[in-house]
Amino acid sequence: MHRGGRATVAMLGCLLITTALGIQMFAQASFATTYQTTDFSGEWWAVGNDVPFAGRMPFEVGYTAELYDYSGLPFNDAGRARADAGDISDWSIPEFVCRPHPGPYNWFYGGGFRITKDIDPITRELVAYHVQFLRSVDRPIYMDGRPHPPEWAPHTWSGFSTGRYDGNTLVVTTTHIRESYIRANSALFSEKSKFTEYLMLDDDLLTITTLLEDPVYMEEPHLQSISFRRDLHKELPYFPCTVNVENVTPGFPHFLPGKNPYIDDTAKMLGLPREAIRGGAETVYPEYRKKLKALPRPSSN
Amino acid sequence: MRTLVAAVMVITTSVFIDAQRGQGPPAAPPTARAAAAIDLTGTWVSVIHEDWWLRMVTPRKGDYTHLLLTPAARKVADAWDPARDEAAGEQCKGYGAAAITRLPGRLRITWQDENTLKLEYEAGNQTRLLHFGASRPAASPSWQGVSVAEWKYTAVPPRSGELKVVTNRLRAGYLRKNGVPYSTNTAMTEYYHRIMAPNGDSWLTIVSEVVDPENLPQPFVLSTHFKKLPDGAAFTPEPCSAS
Repeated sequence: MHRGGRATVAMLGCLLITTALGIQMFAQASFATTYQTTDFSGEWWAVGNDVPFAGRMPFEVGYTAELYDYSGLPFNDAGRARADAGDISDWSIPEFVCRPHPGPYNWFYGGGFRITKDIDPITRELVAYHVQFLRSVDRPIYMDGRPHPPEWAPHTWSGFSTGRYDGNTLVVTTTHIRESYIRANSALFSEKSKFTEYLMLDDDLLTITTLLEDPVYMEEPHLQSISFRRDLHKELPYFPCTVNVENVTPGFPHFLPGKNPYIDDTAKMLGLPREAIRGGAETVYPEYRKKLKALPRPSSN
Repeated sequence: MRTLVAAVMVITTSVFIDAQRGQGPPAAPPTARAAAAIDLTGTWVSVIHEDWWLRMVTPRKGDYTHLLLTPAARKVADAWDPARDEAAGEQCKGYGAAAITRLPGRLRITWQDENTLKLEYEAGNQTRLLHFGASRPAASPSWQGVSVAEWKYTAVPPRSGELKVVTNRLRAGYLRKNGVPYSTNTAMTEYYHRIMAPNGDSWLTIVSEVVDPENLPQPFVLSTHFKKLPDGAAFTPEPCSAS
């Protein structure tokens, strides 16, 4: 080896050693990551749900919703009209009796759920989370960066979901979801809706915030949250729903515009002004309390 | 030979620089403000999408929706008398730390100093101080108690995270304005998350867990949402009201 070649080898060796000695400098470097920062898999159970109607379960969602109560929903006129036309007995028709809860609403129905991970066996990358509730179809949340389908693609009860990490938070975007309920009454979101869900783990507490953007039925986005704890002793039960076609009333239960006789029942029961529980963006901000005081209260039943 | 000398100099210099890093007085730890995992400062407004009729109006006497109470707590709540509270100067009982986040109104967050976050609420014109760092000296129970805060960082870069706050030393108050009690032994843990909506709105989600075995047979968990307002947004404190 001639003299120049030895010099090159020596300098490369020095650089290698120098790099090794200074490696801690690079350990502090910040870099973008797509790998999981928090593991959300496991069995989860709603906090405070041991006693029916107590604990965290919001009154206006889940199995305690009152009919035609839209309080807190930023409904527009179309949203109100659509909800007023609804008849909760539509659950009895064969097409709906085994209807799964819509994906982003399912967190609020109560009970628990399971999240599993789909790991690529070769690359060991997280391809998808799968969420299963008592009354749901499998709901994949793709983590591999795939795009959402075109708008004309079929809409389903669970929708099409993709996820990404923002710090410790898992941010899930869901589109292509069928028109369904946002509350356990006839309050609906449209098939044009987009949900963004935020899964946040604080010590042993998992909180899920859902943000609904519905350009058809809502004046502005709607947020709600619910919390769960990991439960190592719960098993998600099988839910064998069977379509029963006996004693089925023909037709689709509904009310024509202006013909729903039950619209005011909840306002009367709660002693609140009718307008207040009809929803709307104005009603969800603190200033509305002044207007609320001036509105007439309904006479009770 | 010159090559060998140069190589030795490079290695020696590197080792010398590393040795320098380990000398001298240790650098002071960054203040909580400098080390903030997220920026919570600004004015936020509560958006009442949940529990609307329990929050926009004072719940009716005896309405304990969502709450599982001990018999002793129910007895106290059943005896709620807002006029008596007003007369006794106790109209702020429903504005203590365990309840105030759920009340409608704006929340203004600023740094009082490098290690103390100040939370001002329109509701009841109340102020909470969140102290970072060493434990706080014992204090008399008060409506807002003593709050100790710490940043919870992401385990991997880029660094972000959440704020965790533990509050105790509370003066006994109302978990809900209609007289549902919490005791002076109440402990509350909160987690503050900042989330971004697709439309560009910035939201603050506060998850709180209230533990008070005297009145609550199980922890009471709630999450509450605030939307960020533009700089200079109005902030109009309201006095406490017992009804």
